[in-house]
Amino acid sequence: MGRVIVVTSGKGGVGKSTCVANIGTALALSNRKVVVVDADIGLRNLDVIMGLEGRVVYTSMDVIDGSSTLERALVKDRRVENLKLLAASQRNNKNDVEPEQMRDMCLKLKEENDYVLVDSPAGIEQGFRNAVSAAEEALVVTTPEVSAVRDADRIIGLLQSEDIHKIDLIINRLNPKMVAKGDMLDSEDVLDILSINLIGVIPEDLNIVGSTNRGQPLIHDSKTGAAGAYRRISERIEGKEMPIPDFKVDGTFIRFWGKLLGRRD
Amino acid sequence: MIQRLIQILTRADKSKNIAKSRLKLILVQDRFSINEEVMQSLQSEVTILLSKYFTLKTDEVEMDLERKGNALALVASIPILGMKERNNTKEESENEEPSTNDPGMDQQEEKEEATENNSN
Repeated sequence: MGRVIVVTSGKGGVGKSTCVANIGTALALSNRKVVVVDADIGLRNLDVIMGLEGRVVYTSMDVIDGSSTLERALVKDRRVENLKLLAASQRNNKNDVEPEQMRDMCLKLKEENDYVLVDSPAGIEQGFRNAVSAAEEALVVTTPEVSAVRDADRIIGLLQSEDIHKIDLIINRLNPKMVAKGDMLDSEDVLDILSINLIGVIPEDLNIVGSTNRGQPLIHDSKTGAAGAYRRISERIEGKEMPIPDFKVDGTFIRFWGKLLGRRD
Repeated sequence: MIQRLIQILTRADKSKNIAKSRLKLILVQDRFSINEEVMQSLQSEVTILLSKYFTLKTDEVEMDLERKGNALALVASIPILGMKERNNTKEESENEEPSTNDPGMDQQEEKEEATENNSN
């Protein structure tokens, strides 16, 4: 019996699908059976981020209306053993699926797999309710920006009212240089405001753009930067305790004063 | 040059600090506005409590959260028609205020303000 984890954020564009693709791949690389589910019906993109768009034949909609079996609708990722995608229909919309139908599918997937990662659409409407319907745990993705943190707070409240109490936070796209200059919220600031458990901080990494262009999750090609952070998150999901690096960089100016004052940090 | 250094050293207006204080205020408002029912039940409970002491114009009680500078304030407007006579036999030493027996004669308005500071 596996775990159903919904990846959600409220605000769009904070990197949910990229997180799902990379964390899912990382878990599969450590020999877990993983299914990633795109719950963004009508605006699917997980298939594209994973580079599997050419091989999608059936979607979750086809499983629901009976034109495909669940097993047949799963797209195998040929790069990694044990990683499969359940794509969303692009022709339908979120209201064409009921939370119970989504729930049934995820519960079936859970029986055969170690992890079912559900990529939630942005927003708090029906799509969100579908995505969380089977989840017992949630990863909330935010960026260190006012609007994203605000929406994350709202989502955390909604998850709690859906009776999901294991909620972990991922802070994505943290720019250490901007943090050092005081021009970006750091992870402590965000935690202070949201007061939930932090499971990972992903530094801003421009290589993500190239990996998305190629349709190959960054974790295949890199061990540092964002890829390293994704890998550490996957290990923390597995229950390993590892410290979260704080990605602090000293600006030249701070280093200069640090030396002058004999401070080392 | 020196001026620039001082400016960097004493930069109190770092944008992250602005972001943080804005967020805190936004979230206090958001968290309250989600719970419209909570506000309703607070209002009815406060009304019941105050009714033990005063005769109120219950249908004109108003309660709201308002933004006051960097904090959020609970502002209540509770029209009072008169004091209630307290028939509490247990407390004999109770201050016997002469209560107005004909409500409506002296209509007062009480304004309660409780400021909730959301400092760290």
